[in-house]
Amino acid sequence: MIYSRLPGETVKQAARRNEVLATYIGPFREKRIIIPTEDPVPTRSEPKPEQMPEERPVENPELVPA
Amino acid sequence: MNHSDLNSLPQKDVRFRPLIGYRCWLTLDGRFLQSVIMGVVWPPRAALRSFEPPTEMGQLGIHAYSYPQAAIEWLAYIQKTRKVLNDASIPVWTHTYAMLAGSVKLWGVVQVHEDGYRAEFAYPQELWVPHDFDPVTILELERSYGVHVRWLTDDEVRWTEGL
Repeated sequence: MIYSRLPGETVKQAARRNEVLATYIGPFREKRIIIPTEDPVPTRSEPKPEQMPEERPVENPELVPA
Repeated sequence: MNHSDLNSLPQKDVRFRPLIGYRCWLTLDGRFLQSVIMGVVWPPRAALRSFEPPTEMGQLGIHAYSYPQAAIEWLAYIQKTRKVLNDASIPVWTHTYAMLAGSVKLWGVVQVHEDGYRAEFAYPQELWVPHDFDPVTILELERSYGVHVRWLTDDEVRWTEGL
């Protein structure tokens, strides 16, 4: 039995491809419905800004070269 | 996801944590995942959806094994024999390709088989690459899909011996 046929695929080719699909996960057992409470797809994280050294207050500005 | 079709189902059939399946892919352009048999390109940062929700009969749905050894053995089998890719009935989707395995989250309508699943929705959870895999492609896959990519462990490599 042919379950799906790709564009340009002959009936014989589709039958062979579906045979591969049919056999590799074994006989059917049960049906489940799964509605995740959280999105299983990771969100695109914002690029992290370059780590800058903390700016420290100058204790004696007169000793700092211009 | 459109849940309207699912609301009428008995509560006992509804779960809230994605199932985890295992499968292998080709890489496309060094940064995308592509199904080995169907040639479908898995979209980065978006769920892959089956053409239609899988029914009990037929082969619709996103296929994955229920245990990792099966996926890795299949990866090794195809790499060593190229039987599936060289079969005249199976298109060779890319001229230059690398193959990898990994785990996937599965949800929506999921048909459970003896050795695997057919799911309505899927997204990669983690990718496992052979030791000769291109390191640049690893970085590109991590960036594209936002998932961890690791080398196959010694135990996993042992699963492929003798195939």
